[in-house]
Amino acid sequence: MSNNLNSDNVIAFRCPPQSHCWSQAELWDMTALCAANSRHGGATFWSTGKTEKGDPQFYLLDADEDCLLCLTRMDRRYVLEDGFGGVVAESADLKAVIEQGRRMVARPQGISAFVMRSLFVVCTCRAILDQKIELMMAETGEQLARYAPQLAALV
Amino acid sequence: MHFAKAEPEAKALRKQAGVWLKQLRNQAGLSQVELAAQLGLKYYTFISQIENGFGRVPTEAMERWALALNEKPSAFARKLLGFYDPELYRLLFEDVS
Repeated sequence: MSNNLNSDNVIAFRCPPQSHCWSQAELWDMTALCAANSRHGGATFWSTGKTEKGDPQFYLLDADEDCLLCLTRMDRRYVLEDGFGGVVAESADLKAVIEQGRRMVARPQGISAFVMRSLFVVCTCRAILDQKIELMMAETGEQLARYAPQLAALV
Repeated sequence: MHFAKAEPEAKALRKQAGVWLKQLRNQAGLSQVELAAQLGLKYYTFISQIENGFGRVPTEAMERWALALNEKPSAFARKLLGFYDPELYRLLFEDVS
């Protein structure tokens, strides 16, 4: 069968060149990252840009408009990086990459929420204890002032 | 969800830093891919992120970045500090008296 293959009867199928812009569907999927970030109390700004080679980039930005996540499409591959150039995920499947990003934006916020709650509980306990101790000390001082002269008289 | 809000000063300065870094790279005759390779980055996309004004050169990468662009690391870091933290730059390097 392979003998029949020659340049006359084999048609080379080429992938259509990818656009240098994001498609509507891609943008729709990527804005899910913003939604995930806003659900965890983060800012929900985003912007787009291009690399020198024309590969489209999508930036998820914080309140100071610093990049939290950067998603780039290179050929048919999506690369997700954090704001420091660390690769978070890379795949040909955009949804899988977004899912990784979604987990990433959820993680630190989740931890900070837990830390905040823990701190609140510790501070509340300490305030209650301080109040109780203060009350006990005041009571003890009062008792001492009351009975000390009598005790001294007995001695 | 919103587009990025109007440019505050910090954002404008980051953009300026990006433009300056791009100029230096062009002067050094490097592409984004080549610079990324010199910095040991897996992808060149981080260079683009910074040059587009959406990120900062990490402090730990400043020296290598400077050397790759044929710049003196101290002068390079100082200039970047002026873009990324202008108040600290003013306190450190400008006469406030």
